[in-house]
Amino acid sequence: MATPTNAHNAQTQTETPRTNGTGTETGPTLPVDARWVERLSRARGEPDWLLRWRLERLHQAETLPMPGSRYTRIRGLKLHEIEPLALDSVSASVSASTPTPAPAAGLERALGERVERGRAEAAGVYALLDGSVVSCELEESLRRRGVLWLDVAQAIKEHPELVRRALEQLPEPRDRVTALGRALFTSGLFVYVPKGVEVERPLRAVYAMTRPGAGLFTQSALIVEEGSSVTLLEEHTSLETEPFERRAVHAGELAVVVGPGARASVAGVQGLNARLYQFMRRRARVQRDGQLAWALGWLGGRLTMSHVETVLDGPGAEVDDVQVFFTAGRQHVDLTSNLIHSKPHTRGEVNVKGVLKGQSQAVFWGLIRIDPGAQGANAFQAERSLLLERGPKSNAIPSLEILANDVRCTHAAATSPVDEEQLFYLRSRGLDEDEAKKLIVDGFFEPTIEKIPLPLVQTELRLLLDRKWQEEL
Amino acid sequence: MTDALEIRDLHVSVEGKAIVKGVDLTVRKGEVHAIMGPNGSGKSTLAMALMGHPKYEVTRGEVLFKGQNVLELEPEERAKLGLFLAFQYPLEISGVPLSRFLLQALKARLGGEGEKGGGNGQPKVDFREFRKQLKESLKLLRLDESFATRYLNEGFSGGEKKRCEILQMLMLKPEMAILDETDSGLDIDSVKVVAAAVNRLRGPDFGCLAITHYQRILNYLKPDVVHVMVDGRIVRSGGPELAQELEEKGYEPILRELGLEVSEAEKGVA
Repeated sequence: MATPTNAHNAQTQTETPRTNGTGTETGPTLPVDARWVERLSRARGEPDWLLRWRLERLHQAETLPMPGSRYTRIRGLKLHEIEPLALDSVSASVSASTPTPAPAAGLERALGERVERGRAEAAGVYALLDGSVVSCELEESLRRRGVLWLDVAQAIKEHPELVRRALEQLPEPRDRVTALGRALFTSGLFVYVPKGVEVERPLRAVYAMTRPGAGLFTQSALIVEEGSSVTLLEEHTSLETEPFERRAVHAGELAVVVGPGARASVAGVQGLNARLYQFMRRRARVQRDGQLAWALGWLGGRLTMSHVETVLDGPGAEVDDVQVFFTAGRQHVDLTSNLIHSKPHTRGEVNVKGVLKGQSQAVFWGLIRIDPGAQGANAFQAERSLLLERGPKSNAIPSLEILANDVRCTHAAATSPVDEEQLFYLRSRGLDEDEAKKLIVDGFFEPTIEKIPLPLVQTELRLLLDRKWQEEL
Repeated sequence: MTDALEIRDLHVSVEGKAIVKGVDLTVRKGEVHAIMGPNGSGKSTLAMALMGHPKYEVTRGEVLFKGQNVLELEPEERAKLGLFLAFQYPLEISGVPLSRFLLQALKARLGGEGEKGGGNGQPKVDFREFRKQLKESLKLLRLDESFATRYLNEGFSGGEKKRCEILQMLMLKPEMAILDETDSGLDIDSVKVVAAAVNRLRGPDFGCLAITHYQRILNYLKPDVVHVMVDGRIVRSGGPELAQELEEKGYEPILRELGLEVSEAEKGVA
């Protein structure tokens, strides 16, 4: 195992336990120091600008607060105890004491099977097992037409300017996890679709996180040039692992640019280990007449914070953001969807639906911003949650910033328990309580799932929702 | 032990208020009974209690069906035993296509008592036969075939919902069906269609308790016995001629006879 924390170990034993949530406490707040980052960057053969960029982010991470709000307080996670995953090839030189073990053969096989299942339907596959690239392949015909489908390390070597531009365009980090993720990222995907290329079959990326205590940090970018189209499906899974003994982290970012008249669909299906903390930031800029569809499903993980922001940056630009979540036990999801209409005649629609069981909690932050001059903008946002028991809590915090006067803007949020009358109606037809609730839950999700323009994602989501119901996730 | 639905001295309260105050009634298989009565007489409360709605509390009495104590059973167990309730106000279940729902209900119904649904141990339903029957039943109830894939009752008109209840009855083939004002709000053609569907199930293995406010459906349903329910009790029972009498004179004479107040609304109800 990569043990960059060795330097801290002696220290941590004498430290009094801290709570996360502020950046002012004493003691170690980060799992690594600048020397570790330097070694990582050198071992990966990175250019100087990137090392400097990483170190600046590490420095920011020292003082920035943990992410969260009064609805989401991250108590259990101790960032300094996390062991960042480094690629196998460099981990040995990064930490001499304990080299990263090769992924267990069983897990690699399980990941292989998962990848294999969807291979026929995919034009490209990227599979990552605990930070190691197991597979990165793209259909030859697409490669010849200039489509790039690269692991970030390869992208840095082959297209450093592309990566640099993408990284430098990221908004300033406002929390420790985001800054740390940027300082330590070791994997991720760079996808580039040149002008006028329609990628018909979806591109599929599988991120498998199976190692207790590990931290995976990813940076990805999807650039779709004018008139092109593409579908990217990101899956986050821990395969069939038992609940981890130690908390693990994934912090990932995806930057999307949808060029003029281009179409992109980005789906993300998350079924991570019950002790995994995931922090996802996905940001898109959609240019004139471009169309983007987000389709995100949140089922696993101990805590999930997701931030989705779409800037409709050209007249006629459109976005559909569909998200579903299903939480149980002590799971916590914190979802943000920001819709920024910065140009006239843009259309944005956000549909979020969730089911909660056990003591789980959800919070949804929905912002619609319509900039001055964005006349004719049409924005819609709806969030609905269904509480299956008395224990869970769900909050929706919508906010509107309308700075233009000729716009349409609608938003709605509702949380309700299972309707007793519906339940009785179904039971009177012979369904037991469990079956009746399952039917109500399926029916609750179904119209939203049907809004997802990708059959593959619809199927995958239905499957995961079933498994969640059977408590397999 | 008999195959009948036997209701003995049944008392039902809703939120602490007594609504049904001692009903005795026996409906044998092969028979169709009608319960008529003015608004607020407790007819629908009786129906809900028979199906086991948790808000309807049985405070006294017993209900047997096929010799089993119905009151001990959960609603789904009552359904599996062969009871069916056509709801006065059918619920909308978004996102659940009618055909999927019917298939699952049919599996549950065929599964019989005590068998747990979901995955293993469920009886096989002949899918082709199911589709054929669904198509026929839709046609009989004058519902377009597209209803099979529409979400259960969602966006259906009042009349479509009522006919869909009867469609469910045809598909699930209960042994004892309780129709709770299925005819209310239906035009006369729909009333005929509903009655025809009920008559189709009629036979030695099917009994029916039709609750209604109006006499007109009885012209087509032709009940064997008609009961009049007033203030939580059955106050009179008789043959089809009783319905005819109510048609002509309304509930007023009966209410006067019982020394009860006659509301304006009940005068001249046909």
